[in-house]
Amino acid sequence: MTPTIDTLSSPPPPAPDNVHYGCPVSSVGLHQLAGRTLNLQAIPNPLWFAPTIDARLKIEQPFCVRVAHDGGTATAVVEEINEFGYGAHAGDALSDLGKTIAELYFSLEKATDLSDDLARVRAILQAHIRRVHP
Amino acid sequence: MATVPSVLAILICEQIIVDQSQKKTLVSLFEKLHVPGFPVAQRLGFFARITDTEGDYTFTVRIVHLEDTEELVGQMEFPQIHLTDRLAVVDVAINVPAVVFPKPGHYEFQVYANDQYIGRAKMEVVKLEG
Repeated sequence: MTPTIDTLSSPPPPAPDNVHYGCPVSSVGLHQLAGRTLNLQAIPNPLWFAPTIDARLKIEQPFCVRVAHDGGTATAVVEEINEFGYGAHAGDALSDLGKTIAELYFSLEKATDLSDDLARVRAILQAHIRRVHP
Repeated sequence: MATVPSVLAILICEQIIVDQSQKKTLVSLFEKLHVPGFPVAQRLGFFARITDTEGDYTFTVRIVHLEDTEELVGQMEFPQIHLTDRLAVVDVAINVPAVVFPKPGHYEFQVYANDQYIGRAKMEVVKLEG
């Protein structure tokens, strides 16, 4: 079954700024084994990371992130800038990583007299992230 | 190449009602679900509002149990969609007839656009006492 996408031409017209991507459940691949877990990784590894990390910033090129578990701690790392996030689970580590990247972006954004390494990090961040609000 | 979407909201509720004008009503938003026992199959509504989209997208939602080791317990793959207006908002809304939660604890709904992680919502499933 094809997805239903209601556009402005569909009667009755939806709000002009709103496209409803309403999928009948039969068109959605729902994979689950009752009472058991799927034999898949809980999170892709490496993972392309592109959430909203700050309301002022937009990730336009996803970061490649590796997630590792050690004991009760998950670690998410962007190797190209050597930034880490930590948490009890991968999702928490990714959330922490997002905050870390945003803080780093702001701290380097207008800094002067940066070392070569920090200048390289700033160039990488600015290649991935765009400031969308002041 | 498709742009990276921005997530405006990811919500989990008991049911989503879409009326004839395509307005959506999210019924009984929750973060904690009380169930009589495990495993349990629960009907729920999943809603994500997304913008900044231009290109072809395949949205995927992975449901992960977070206690001890992280385990994938379910995955929803939406059909590919072509979007052209970056300023428009897109609602990915579905009533899932039965999500099976095998154990108590915290669960995470991870949202991916073209295999790019763009956000998550968390909820907890607990056994009803008494």
